[in-house]
Amino acid sequence: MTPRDRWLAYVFVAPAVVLVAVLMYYPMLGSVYESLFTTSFINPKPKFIGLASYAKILSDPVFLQVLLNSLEWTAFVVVLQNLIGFLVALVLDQNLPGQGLMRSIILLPWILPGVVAAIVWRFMCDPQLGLINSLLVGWGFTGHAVAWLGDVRTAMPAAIAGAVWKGFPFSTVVYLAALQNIDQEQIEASIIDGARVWQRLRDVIFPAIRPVVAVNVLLTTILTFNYFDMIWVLTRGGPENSTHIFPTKIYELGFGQFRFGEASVYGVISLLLVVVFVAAFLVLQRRPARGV
Amino acid sequence: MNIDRRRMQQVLVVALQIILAIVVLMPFFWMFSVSLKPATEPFAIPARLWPQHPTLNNYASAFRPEFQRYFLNSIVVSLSTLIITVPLALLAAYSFTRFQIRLLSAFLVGIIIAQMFPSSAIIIPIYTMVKATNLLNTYPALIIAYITVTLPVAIWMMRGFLANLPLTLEEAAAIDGATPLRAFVEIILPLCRPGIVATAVFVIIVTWQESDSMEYAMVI
Repeated sequence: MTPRDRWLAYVFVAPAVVLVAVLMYYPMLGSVYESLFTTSFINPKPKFIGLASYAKILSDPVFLQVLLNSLEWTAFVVVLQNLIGFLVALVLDQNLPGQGLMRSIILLPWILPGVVAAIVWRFMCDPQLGLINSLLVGWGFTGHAVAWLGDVRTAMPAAIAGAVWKGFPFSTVVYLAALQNIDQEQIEASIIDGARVWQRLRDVIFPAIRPVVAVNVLLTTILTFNYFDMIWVLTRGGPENSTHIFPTKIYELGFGQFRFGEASVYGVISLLLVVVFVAAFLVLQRRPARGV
Repeated sequence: MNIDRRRMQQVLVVALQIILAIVVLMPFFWMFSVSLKPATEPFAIPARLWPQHPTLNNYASAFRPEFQRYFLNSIVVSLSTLIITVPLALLAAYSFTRFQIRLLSAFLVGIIIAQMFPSSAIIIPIYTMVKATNLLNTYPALIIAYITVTLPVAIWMMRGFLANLPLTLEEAAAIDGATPLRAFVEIILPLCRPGIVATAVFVIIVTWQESDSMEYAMVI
């Protein structure tokens, strides 16, 4: 490689690298720096307090609740979204007429802007306007409407259901593509050998798409953990913090209460959690699959 | 497998698909139905699936002048993000796929890591930056916010396309005396048009629907 080529290589990369550095790394480091200071609406001048914010927040019961909520939210959304996404992909992976139309219909919630999807879901859950309540009352399951999003017990499941409805089409599309890449001869051979549907799933289909499942789970976990709009539009973290997850808490602390220091502490901890998860995932992936 | 059983399976699959479509579409239908109801009807108990007296009044009152403004905003911001993201991603991806330099691999890893940053964690310093430069409530502020979402993914997408273009084309050009820059402009650029289009579509979809904390913060 001539020095001129080398020079060209750097010139081509420079603008993108500079932008990523200025717009992503600098703010991330800024967030770490900011987390060492305290500000409030009344006293906006930053005051250095070192790791005191971390100590204070880690011992705060609200933090524990946000952490548990985030884990609950992420675990349920990721598992349900991937499971439903996969099952729907199996149903759609048939050579029947009208498949193109079906696939477009299934994709709709995913193409929808996040806020719009959340508003559509709020319409479903609303005690007065909601279809779910109308059906429940109409069919006589409950005597009165339920405020799904206003009750500590039901708010999180309602939000999770909304996120799954919005997110499963993405998994479906990915799994559908993977299913169509499977060697058809393998499937036919397993049918001739008399494999039942369940055996075919377990021994032929699943091993073939295992890498895709791994990447998809990783991706949806990161996206779901950082997913802001659904919960913000549905509940703003309420009632009584019962649906606050990291992104909504950070937003509320920073832009609702101007406590940027505390918001940054939540931000840094949330990044650490994602990094630990991704690292653990990659380590587990390196290990050879059991019994295959 | 005998024909009857096969037929039954097909009917079952079609039935499943129809149920699925209904479940997925129901919320949209419901929103549409409520949008056609006159002011008093949405609160009627029990609610009706379809309004008794459908009306377009709600639409008439929604199409206020601000609406056009919102639409224009979306277009300006989307296109600007596109014009910045796609060329930068293309150039960077070219370097990443064509030159074996250790520092470049480090940059590439750095870009993957940047994608894991939660937007809610980097938003506060970006907000401070934008505020310090008096850009709050402007197009550049939104474009900056979008670039943090689109650029890393666009680089990865373009890299995938470029990696599939055989090196032999450029080697032939080099033998014929073309500089790498000329080879890039005259050979690579025309060949990766599909990649450019796919990346552009991705950027437009993301900027059109992106509405997370970034956007909220930039318009405070």
